[in-house]
Amino acid sequence: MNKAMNGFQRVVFALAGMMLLLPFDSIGQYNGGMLGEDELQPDFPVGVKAVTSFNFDPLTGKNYVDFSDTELMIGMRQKLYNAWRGQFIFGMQFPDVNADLGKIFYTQVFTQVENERNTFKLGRTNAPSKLIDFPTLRDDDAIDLNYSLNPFSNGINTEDNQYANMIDFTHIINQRYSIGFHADNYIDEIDRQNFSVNALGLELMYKVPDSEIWNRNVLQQVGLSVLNYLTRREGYGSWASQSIRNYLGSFMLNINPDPVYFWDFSGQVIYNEGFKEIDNITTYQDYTRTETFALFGALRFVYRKLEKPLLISSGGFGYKFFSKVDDTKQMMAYYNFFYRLGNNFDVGLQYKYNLNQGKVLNVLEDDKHRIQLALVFSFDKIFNSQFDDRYSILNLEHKYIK
Amino acid sequence: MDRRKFLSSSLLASGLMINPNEIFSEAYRKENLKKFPRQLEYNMDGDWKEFHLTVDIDVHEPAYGMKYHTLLFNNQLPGPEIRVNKGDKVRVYFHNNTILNHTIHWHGLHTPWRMDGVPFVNQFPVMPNNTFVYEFVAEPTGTHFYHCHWGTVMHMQAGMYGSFIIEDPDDPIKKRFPYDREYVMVYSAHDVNFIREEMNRMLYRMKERSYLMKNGRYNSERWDTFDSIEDFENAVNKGYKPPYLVNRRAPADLPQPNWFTINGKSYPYAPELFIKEGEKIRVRLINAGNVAYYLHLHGHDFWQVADDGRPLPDPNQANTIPLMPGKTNDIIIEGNNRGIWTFHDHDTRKVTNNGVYPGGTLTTLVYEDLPPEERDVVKYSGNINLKKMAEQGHKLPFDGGTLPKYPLDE
Repeated sequence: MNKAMNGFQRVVFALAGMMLLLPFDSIGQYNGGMLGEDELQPDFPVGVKAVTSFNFDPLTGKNYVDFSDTELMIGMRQKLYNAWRGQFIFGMQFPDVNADLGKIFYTQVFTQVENERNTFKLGRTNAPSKLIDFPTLRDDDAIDLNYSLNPFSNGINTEDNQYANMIDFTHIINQRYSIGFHADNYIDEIDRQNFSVNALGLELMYKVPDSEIWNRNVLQQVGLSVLNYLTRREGYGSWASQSIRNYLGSFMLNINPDPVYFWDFSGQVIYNEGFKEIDNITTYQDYTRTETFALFGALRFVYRKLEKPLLISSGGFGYKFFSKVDDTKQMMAYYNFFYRLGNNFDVGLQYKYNLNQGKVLNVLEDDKHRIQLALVFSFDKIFNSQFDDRYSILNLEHKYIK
Repeated sequence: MDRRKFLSSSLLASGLMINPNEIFSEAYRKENLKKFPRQLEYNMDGDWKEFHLTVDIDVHEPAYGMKYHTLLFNNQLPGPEIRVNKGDKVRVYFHNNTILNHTIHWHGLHTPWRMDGVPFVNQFPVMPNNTFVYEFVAEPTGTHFYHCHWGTVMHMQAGMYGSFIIEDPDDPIKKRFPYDREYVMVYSAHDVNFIREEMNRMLYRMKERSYLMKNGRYNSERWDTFDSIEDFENAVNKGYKPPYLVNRRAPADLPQPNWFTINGKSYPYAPELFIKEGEKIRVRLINAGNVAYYLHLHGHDFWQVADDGRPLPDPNQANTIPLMPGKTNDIIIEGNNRGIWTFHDHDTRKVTNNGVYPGGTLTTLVYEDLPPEERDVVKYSGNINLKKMAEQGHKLPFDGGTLPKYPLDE
């Protein structure tokens, strides 16, 4: 220390030094780096999905290039003490062109700890508003029919339904059965500053792990869940009467579990209890808060050549029934075809037909036909891999996670 | 921090060490004997010596607290030792309990060609739940080993290896260097992350292949084996991607070993070599792994007496010997300089456990008859603090002031 420094200067100097360290010292108990406390370096998962498509409506002639849903995801996973594991995931994507979410939307920002039987997750991630991933080009291609819709949304952004800030606890009963409880904060377009919990849910799932692809019979997945959206329903006091309950049920059947010529059928039903008094649709809120019954099903074919999928083709159909709103319904059908051009790269073609009838036209376009020619690049790898995944064959059959 | 804590913590911070006096206990020596390969028992069928080997997936622990899944012959790593006499007729029943393919190659032995264990060159792989019977006459004499020759990059480093000793009743080495006891040290290197990833991929792949085989729908592309170069090139033109173009078989990177073992164990659990003053011991060194070792013995020049099992007509005296992958070397150590002496790889990267020194193939030559008074080194230490602690009656670290078992730096 410079002798010429007086006491005040020393204090200022020390404070300045502390300020430099503050960003690190203020994060939990971080004290690594200089102190040489690095132990086992973390896993470093990286995921990339670039979905680009040329969209064309043959009736109107409208066309545009769409790269929404393109996503980058990185993370770190670490072994903790006492058989626990911790991870951090950070993901972002380009939202739809007409969204008001800015140029980048952060889809995943969460931390998670897990052991053999439990996972505890905190942060933003995929919302629990569907139970199954249907094989459409983009996750939101059939969002009106295969998602439980966010009643706090204004309908502009599909991300309102797809992602939520949440706290999630899942107990893995055994390798195929799990039960999960979650408290969520869905994006609230009515009150953008509202980050409080506005939904609660419970989920039961039977699912054959993907890595047991050759050890499955007909039943691949069955899921049940209930989602309570905690609205501020005028004139009703209790949280139960203010909540909109959505009940979801899903299944996936392996029609032909042959590893080369594989067929499956997946389906999901969503019953939205809604509010009894909403018998017309004039706003998007009415659309999500009236009673509905939606079903969606898809048949998929996968041809695997040399142990990798070469060709995937699927067709699906959805129907949504509005019991309280006269002459209103939604229907949708799609067919797509993807061909693997090489590692991580597919070319695809999707045709989608939408039919919106009745009062729903007050809030949604009747976007009837869409043809999409797509190029998809996807990459998923764990660098510096230090430990096994929960659903790896070694772990399923010989136990790694204890 | 008081002096004692400072001393203890600064010593411990330098690396894991074991109390040196512990190694002189009877219990330790008994435990140490278990760290050498156990001989496989045999039955006689006529004049055939019959052995049984199985392979299973199991968990191995090279050092306490570090576990990984691996492939084990008869639930041992290394596999049990097969020890026979020159000219014995040997029959080995090899049963595959895993869902992976395997073979056994008898490394250094002169077997009939169909018994050599190279899949699709001289035998079909031994498939899940299948048994293959190997039959051969034991020759030539000396130190050899056996290992799996299927998926060798993974299966060998995963643990599928074991010593095979063919004894010569008229052994020229024993005549020239009469020794009372011998040790077998099987060296190997393991990338435990590679093993885990590759094993997962192989298991996944075999599920599909087994399914197709049951249905009679298996073809040469899935075997990765072709009847001719032309067939191979045709398959490539139709979309088959051989491993050197796009890696279908293994993780994208070659294994980078992070665990180094002797008889499956890493320091401080590696086996010790015990000797007595005036005694000669024979050490059979086998490199069943994929890295080279340069083994250096402190305080002695040993005799290299055999190379690949073959006795050397003119044994060479040295203190450092290269042990290359696939090689075996026999050395004779004469107990002529009593003490506790380090025997280690001078490529010190391999005396680490996942990069942390000391570890790996670090071990010692221990004179088991070293008198207790010679173990006390406080008076030679030159460390004033240690001397003061001794004078003031403090309990000294390392059981009364002997040196740490291993030096902190070679």
